[in-house]
Amino acid sequence: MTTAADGSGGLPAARSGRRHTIVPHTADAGLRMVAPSLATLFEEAAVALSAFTADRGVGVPPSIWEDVRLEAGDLPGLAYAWLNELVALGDIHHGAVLEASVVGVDRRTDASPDGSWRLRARIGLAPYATNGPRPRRGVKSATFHRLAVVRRGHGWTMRAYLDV
Amino acid sequence: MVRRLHSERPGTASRSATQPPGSGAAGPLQIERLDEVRWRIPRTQRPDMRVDGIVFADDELMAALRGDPALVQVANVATLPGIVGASLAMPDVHWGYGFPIGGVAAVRCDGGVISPGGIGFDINCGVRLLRTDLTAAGVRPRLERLADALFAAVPSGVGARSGRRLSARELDDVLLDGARQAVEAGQGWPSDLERTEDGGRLGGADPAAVSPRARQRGADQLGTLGSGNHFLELDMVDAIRDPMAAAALGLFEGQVVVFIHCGSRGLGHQVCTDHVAIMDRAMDRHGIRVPDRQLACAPLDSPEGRAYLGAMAAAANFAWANRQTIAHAVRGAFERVLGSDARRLGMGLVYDVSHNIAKFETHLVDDEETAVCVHRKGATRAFPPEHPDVPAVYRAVGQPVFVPGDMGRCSYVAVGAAGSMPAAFGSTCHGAGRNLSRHAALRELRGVDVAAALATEGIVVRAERPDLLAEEASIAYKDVTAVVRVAERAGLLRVVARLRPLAVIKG
Repeated sequence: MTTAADGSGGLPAARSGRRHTIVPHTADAGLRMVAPSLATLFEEAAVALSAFTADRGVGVPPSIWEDVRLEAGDLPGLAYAWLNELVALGDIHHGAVLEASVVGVDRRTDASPDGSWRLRARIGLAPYATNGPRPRRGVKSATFHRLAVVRRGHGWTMRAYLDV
Repeated sequence: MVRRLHSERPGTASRSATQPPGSGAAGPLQIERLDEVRWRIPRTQRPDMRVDGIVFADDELMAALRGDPALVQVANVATLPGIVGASLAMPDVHWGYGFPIGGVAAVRCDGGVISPGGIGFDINCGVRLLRTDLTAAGVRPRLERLADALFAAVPSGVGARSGRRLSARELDDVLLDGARQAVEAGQGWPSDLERTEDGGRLGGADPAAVSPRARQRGADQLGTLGSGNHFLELDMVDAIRDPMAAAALGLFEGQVVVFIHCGSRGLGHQVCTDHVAIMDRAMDRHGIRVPDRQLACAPLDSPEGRAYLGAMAAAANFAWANRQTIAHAVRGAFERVLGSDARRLGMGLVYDVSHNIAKFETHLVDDEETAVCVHRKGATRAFPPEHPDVPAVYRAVGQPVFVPGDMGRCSYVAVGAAGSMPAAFGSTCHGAGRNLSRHAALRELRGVDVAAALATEGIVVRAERPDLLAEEASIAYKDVTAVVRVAERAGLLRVVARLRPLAVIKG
C-alpha cells in the first residue's frame, strides 16, 4: 500500500514527471520515487527525504551549501550513498535540505576501485529555527533493505527504506 | 475528543509468510509449531539456509506476524556463514531491515561473520532504570514540574545538541572508556558502573575506526535523547511478582522509577552506515552472498570485520556515556524540583542493558562449549542466576532485564532465567514490538490529541513534536504483557515487577 505524499518539501526544480510516495513499514518507513531521468530521480529522492524529515517553512532560502561527489559500484549503492549523504548533512548542520541540484549521474568508463557510478550535486540547507524549517522525524540511516533503482518505461524508479 | 489508544487484534495462527523476490526461495515460507510458544522455520525449505529459524510466539503474536516480512528475515539471517543453533526471533519480533527487530544470531568465532545490520544503526541502543525512594503518591503533586524539569534538562528531538562540543581528545576518551569516562568526569556515581552491562565499557574499542564524519556527528550529541521511539519516562512500580528479586533490585510497590531509552546518536548511526557500505563492497572478495544487501557481512577475523568490531565497541561506549550523562541530568532535575540530594532520594542505578549489540560469549553448541559472537538486534541479554557475567550484586537473581511497553500501558522489570541459555543464547525480548506503521498509526488517530488522551489516564507528556505522538501511541505497539508472557513461558526471563507510566518525555 502506498500513500501519496504532499510533496510540500519540494525543491524548486522542474517537477514534470516526478513524484514520490511514502511506503509504510512496521517500524520504519520507505520512500518510492519516480522520475524521467536518473538525475531527476536522485533529486526527487532528496525531495522525498526532506518532506519526510522536516517542515520546510515558508520562503526560507538555503544558507549552507555543500558540493557533493559520490561513487559506488552500482546504482543501488549510489542511492545508499546519496540518501545517507543527505541524512548526515542534515544532522551535521542541524537543518533541512531545501535544495538539491544533481549535476550528473553517470557511469565511469575507466575502471575504478571505488566504483563505476558517480554522482555530482549541490545541496542547499537551512538550519532549523523557529521561523525557518522545523525538524519532523529523525532518520538514522537509509538502508540497503529492498533498495532498488530500476529503469521502467521511459523513466526511472527508486525504492528505499529508512531506519527511523 | 478522546479515543481509545490501545489496539485489539484478534487473530488466528499464521503458518506461512510470503517471500519476496530474491529472498532465496520461491513460494510461501512454511512454519511448524514446536510447542505453545515456539515455531520452527525448517532449513530444508531453502537451500541457502544453514540452520532452522525459531520464533518465540503464541497464537496471538503469530497471528500479528501474518504478512509481516519479519519471518522471511528470520530465514534470511539463517543464511549467514558460521551461524550456529538457529536464527532466533524473540516474542516482540517485527519487520526490520536485513535482520528482523527482535532477532538473535550466534556465529562461530572460528569462521563466522559479523554483520553490522545485525546490530543496527543505533549501536548499543539500550535502557537504563533509575530507582528512587519516592512514592507515586508523594510525587504526584509535583509531577508536572518534574516533567518540565526533565524536558528542560535532557535535550531531545531530531538532532538534539548538548550545547557543548567535545574536543577530539575528550571524544577519544568517551569512545575508549564509555560510562567510566562520564563518571570520572563527575557525571555519576562509581556504583553506577557496577550496575551497567560490561561495566559501561566494551573492550576492543578503536577510535581510529570511527570515521571523521561519525566523530563530527557525535561530538555535540553526548547527553541527548534523540527522537523516534527513544524516551525518558517516570513510572510507578504497580505490582511486584517476585518479592525476593524485587528486593535485590531495590524495587517496592508504589515506588517511582525512571526509564532512559536511547543509544549512540549520530555517531553510532554513521558508524553502521559506513561499515555496511564497506562490507557490501567486500563480500565478493570474501565469497559471501546474502539474500538481502542489508545483511552485508565479513569474516570476524578479516580486516573489515576487525575494523567494524573496533568501531562498534567505540560507538557502544559512546552510548553508555550518553545514558550515563542523561542519568546525571535526571538526578539534577529531581534535586532541583524536590530540593533534596539525589543520594538522599535513593536515586541509584538498577541496571543498564544494551539491546543492539554483538558480544563475544561462550555457549553450548551441540553439547560443546563454543566461542560465539552473538548478534542481538532488538534483543536483550538475559543471563540466568549464577552466570559469571552477571554483576555480583545480582548474581543470585540473574541479570536484570527491562521490557518497556508503550507510553499508555505498562512495562516490565524481569531477570534472566535458566532457559534463556539453551533456548536463545542467553537472550530475551527488548520491548513490545510495533504492529502498526507510523503512517497507519497517524491515520488511526487522526484528529486525536494523544497527549490529552494520556492525561485523562493521569499520564503527563512532554514532546518536541506533540503532533507526531500518534506515531508512538499504544495503538502502534503490541501488548507488552502478551510479549512478556511468552518470554516467561519459554523460560527466557522471570517477571519481577510491572510498571505503569506517570510521565513521558519524547523527542
